[in-house]
Amino acid sequence: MRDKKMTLEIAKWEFGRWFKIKEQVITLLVSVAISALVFGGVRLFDKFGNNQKTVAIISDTPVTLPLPKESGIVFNLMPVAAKDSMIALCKMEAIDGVLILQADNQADMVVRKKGKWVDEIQAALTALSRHERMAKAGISPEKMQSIFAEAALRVIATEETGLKSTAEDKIAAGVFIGFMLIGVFLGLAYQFVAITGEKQSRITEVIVSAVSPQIWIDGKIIGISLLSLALLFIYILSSILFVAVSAMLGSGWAFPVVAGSPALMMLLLLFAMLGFMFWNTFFAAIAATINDPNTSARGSLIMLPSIPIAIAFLAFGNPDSLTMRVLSIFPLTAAPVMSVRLVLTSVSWFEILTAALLLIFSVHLLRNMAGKIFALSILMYGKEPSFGEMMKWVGRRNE
Amino acid sequence: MGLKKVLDVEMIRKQFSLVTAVADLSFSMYEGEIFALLGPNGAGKTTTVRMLNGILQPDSGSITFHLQNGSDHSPLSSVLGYLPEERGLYQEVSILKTLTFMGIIRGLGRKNAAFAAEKWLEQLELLDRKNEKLNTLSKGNQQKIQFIASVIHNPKFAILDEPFSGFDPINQEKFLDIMKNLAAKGTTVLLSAHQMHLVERIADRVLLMNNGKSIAYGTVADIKASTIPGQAVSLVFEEISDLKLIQDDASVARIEITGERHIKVFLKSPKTLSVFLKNVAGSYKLQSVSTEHISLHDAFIEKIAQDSEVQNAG
Repeated sequence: MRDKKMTLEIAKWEFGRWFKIKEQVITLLVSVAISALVFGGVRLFDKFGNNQKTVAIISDTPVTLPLPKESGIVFNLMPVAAKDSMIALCKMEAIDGVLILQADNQADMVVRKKGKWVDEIQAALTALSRHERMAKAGISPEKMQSIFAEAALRVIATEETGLKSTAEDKIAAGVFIGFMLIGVFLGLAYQFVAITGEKQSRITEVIVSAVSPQIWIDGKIIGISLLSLALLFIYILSSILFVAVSAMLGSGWAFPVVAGSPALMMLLLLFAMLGFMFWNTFFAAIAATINDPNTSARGSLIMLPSIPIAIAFLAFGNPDSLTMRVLSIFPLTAAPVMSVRLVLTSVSWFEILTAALLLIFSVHLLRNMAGKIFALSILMYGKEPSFGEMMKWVGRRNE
Repeated sequence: MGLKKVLDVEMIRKQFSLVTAVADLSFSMYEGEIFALLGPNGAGKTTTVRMLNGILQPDSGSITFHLQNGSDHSPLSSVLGYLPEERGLYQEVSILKTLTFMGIIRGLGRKNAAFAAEKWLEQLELLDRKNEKLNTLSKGNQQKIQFIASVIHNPKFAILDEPFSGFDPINQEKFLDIMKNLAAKGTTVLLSAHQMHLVERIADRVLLMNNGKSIAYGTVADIKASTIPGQAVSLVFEEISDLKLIQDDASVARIEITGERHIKVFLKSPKTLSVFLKNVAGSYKLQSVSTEHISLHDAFIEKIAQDSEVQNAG
């Protein structure tokens, strides 16, 4: 009981050492400010900027080109005789373009520089031409629609598949595992700085005379994993604020389905926390063996967690493939791959439970191994123990 | 010092590869006692202290504390205080937060830990700096914080490794008083220090170690008496002189050259003082003569020299 209380006290201490509420509030405010600046700026530019394009249509017969409502293109019908003077006006920047209609659906477009708005004219001309040809062939729009109508296929799936994922969901999944990677890296960096710093400033002996190394490492792992989780939460919140502010300013962005599902959010946070604990446990043991962080080659091991995250991106193609199903249960890759699958597809409770239990078991196993390495390394100065020595320590029975 | 035994160390041994750091060491400590562990560098003091703290385990022998009800080989950290030789604290955290945390991991509640921290800070005139980070303090003040961290929980047994290092003479005096107060309130203090003149003033008993073994154990007076039972005489010559006559004098135990024309002579017995002075005065031109108390420092040097002679002879 006392050990648990002490572990929590150390976790609280580690969390408090690195989590600065002021900095997190600033992160949220910056997110809101950037969104407001970017999307507010675009809106203001649209409102006050001159986006209207004036185009002269050269034709002796009346023409109506169908343009979308929001289009900023204004047509002026001019006779063929005015063609050269219109081109001259275009060169003088008095108008933006000259559309010269010819027979057989041919047309020339004179502009100073091709812009995206020309694509709108291309689309309008294609629609006009199609309409004229249909009229000539005596095909009504209703008939045309029925010719190109899709065959009615009703899919009755016995298991839900990944077809439900939308573009927003995919973006959300990508952003989430991106944030998860940042959370892992930040956690590992704090863990690394905390342990090597304590070792270098000789705090270790003070602490291990008061609590056992196992309690100390447990507290550190929990505290820093909670820190990673809190940072992940802050990043998610700042993204939600970013999207919300941008939507208010007319970005047209929408929240993904996952944002409206608290149960799914809880599962994602659970797997994120287990992933953070997995890597923090592993790295606590490594950091304890490092004598000088400036010269030790072991610091590069911090890049290891990027491998499972990279694998998780492969799940975007087919989250229900056998490989992804296995990787979402395998402890090393479970946290990011299962997170992607949870967002993009429906995952059975059996798979979720198996993945979570295996991850918890792995963390427990790793924690016992890390505790032994940590206990022996933390008071060692000088030569770093080899991986062989570390494995020997792990093999020892508890004294 | 009470008569209740609080620690029994029996025949502890610790070996690191080919080096025997501690060899069959035994001693006991009593409640409220100030006990000093002395010895040259590499004598095995820090290894002994680490074994007492449970940071290291002895290869053989036993360490038994009698601090709580009954005996215990590894007492709760709440009854032990430890100031390690290799020390440091969190530089980037405020002093009060650090001390509160140190109190908590030693078993105090959060409020009690903060209260005790403030009380100690006030006593050491650092209360106004409680919210500052440790790295803003001078080395001496950082040492004070380190000391507070080791005794904030009012331990029954405090192990203080080099508690005077980094302090100026005024603060050394202050810490002598603090340690005396701790002992007076019932805390048993084990200290390891190199400042013999301070240890001599504060320690009830002493254990002198060399090469991992005990070479003297008892009160300061007993050790001095057993090591150099005679008298120390300081002589200042008018000119540089040949010391052969003094060296050959049968009443002389040892000569220590303390300057170009200064020597300190240790006599085997105080009874031979007058004969010795008569001989010296007849043979040398003396500027001054003074008798001195044998200090713990003198006894320490002599005891180590005696032990080395035994080792070499063996």
